[in-house]
Amino acid sequence: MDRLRVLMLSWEYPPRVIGGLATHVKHLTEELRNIGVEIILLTCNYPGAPETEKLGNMTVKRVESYTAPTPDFASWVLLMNINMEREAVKTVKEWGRVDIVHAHDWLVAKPAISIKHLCRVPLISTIHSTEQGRRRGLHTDYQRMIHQIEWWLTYESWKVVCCSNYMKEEVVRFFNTPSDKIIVIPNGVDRNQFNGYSCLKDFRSRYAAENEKIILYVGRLVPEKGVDVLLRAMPSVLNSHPEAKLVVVGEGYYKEELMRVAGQLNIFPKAHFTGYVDDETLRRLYKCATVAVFPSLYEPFGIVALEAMASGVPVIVSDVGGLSEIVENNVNGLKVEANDSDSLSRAISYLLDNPETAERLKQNAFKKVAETYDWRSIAERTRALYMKTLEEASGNPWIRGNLPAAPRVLQ
Amino acid sequence: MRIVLLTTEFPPRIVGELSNIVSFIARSLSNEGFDVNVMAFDDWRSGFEVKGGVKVYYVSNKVSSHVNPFTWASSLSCEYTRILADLLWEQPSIDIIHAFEWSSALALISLKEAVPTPYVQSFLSLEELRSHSNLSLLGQTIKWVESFSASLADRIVAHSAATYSMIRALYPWCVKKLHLVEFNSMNAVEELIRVYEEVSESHG
Repeated sequence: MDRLRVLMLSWEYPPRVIGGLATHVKHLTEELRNIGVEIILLTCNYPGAPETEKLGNMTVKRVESYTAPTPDFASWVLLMNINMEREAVKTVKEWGRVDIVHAHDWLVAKPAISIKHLCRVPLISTIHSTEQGRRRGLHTDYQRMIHQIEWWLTYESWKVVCCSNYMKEEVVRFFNTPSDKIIVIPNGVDRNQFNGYSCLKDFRSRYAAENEKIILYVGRLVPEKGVDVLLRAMPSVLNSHPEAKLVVVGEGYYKEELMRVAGQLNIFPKAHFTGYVDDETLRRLYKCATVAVFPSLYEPFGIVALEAMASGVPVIVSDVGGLSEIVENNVNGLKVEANDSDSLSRAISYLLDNPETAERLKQNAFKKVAETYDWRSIAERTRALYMKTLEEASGNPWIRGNLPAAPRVLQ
Repeated sequence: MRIVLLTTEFPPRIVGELSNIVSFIARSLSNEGFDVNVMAFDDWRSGFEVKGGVKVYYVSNKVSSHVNPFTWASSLSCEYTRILADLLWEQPSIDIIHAFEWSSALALISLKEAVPTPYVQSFLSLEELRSHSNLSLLGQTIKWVESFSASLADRIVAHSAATYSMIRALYPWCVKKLHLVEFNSMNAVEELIRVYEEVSESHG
């Protein structure tokens, strides 16, 4: 067979980084192309980013997404989808053949489904999270609409990829997707990106005094991340460990409320909100942290916990979702009840009091990351899924390549 | 000649005058010997039936909750694409695809890139007229779709003098491909057939 050709669709790709999706697609595509998969990635344009970028045997095309005014985010997405669909058609025409369409999340569902039918190729989707999970229920028509688009994408997909068993169960429960259609392939982390960084004194002094121990949170500041639970744990931690210092890294619409809570708890200046930080600063911050805490209430995967583990920081996570699958309690991290600040403050204090335990946990965590969450092996599993899908599709009369004559579509 | 009509209204779904106009066009074209295929949105039906010589494909929206007409039309357009793609893969010879109003135009915007079939766009009205030029953000989105589909269409048919004048004013660059076909005139169907023949000939 000729080299495998995949048309991948994702609304996020660096430099457009909103959540973990951009990082996932970046690393996945990097490793897929290293193992010989040819990729055209369609994504949204971004100020300053080139319209077309050639990266080895991958081409990134950024489609126009800012032209017309729209009343809300979903309408913006669906309008952007028109341009993405047109670009996808042009791409297939230029390429001559596409073997697989791979869509990431509901934001590209419409162009992915259209291309599937126009080109008659199998569609694979990755569901990174669900609206029902993110919102802890479906409360408005807007949320129900997104939920139904997510369902529609899984319905049209040959196979659905989820990053954890937790997400698989969620997709089965929320969308009635047959579980045999779902493949679990975890997210990964690039360990090399944390090499070569150390905790420099000058840098550290921007966030904490010399004698202070940094308790680090990294992530979006939205309710489901449970940052308020961490804030509520801090008075008790500070009571027994006045040398502790909480550093909260990230941005989000919940930031003001969190700062209000921190003010009410009277934990300033022992809490520091850094806002958004660049990758280099983040990697240095990991090196300076004594413990990293991820207190999510909802977490499909939890890539930031992997980053902390790869950086050599002991982690404390809430016992939910993907975090629960990554961390084995008291083996490579500590797990606490979600939404329980007492349990969280005890765990933080325990690690601050027991540096030899913290050392053991971080060494085991580092090993686990290397064994299970390596992007190369994730890309190999993804390629194997592509190949298996093509094998299954090979006898299917619906598939383009199995039809006796090519019609006028895409010629 | 094999024609596909795309519409969001077709009997028994009657919301405004669109339903009756498309029904009249479909029946008249069928009587003139055209192979007429209507793709019509329907809340409850799916599949295909032949009504008075006209093949009607019922298209349902896979997404039932919506926040505005644009999101509704967007997800519906994907179903038009799916059914049209099936038709094209199974019986490739479609001579003309004719979309009515902005709500059906969305499917054609992407299909235009994929399928070389000539494309006729009908407007009974325009967002500019409906809103008396006081466009909300949603109105501006719809106007963008109307403008984009007008730019892509091989022929544009206005079904009233007011719409015809507004298209000329808003989109002067499309005057050469603009036709006025009013359905209160006796020879409306003949005029439409002339548009089809003209666009068909120009496509070779």
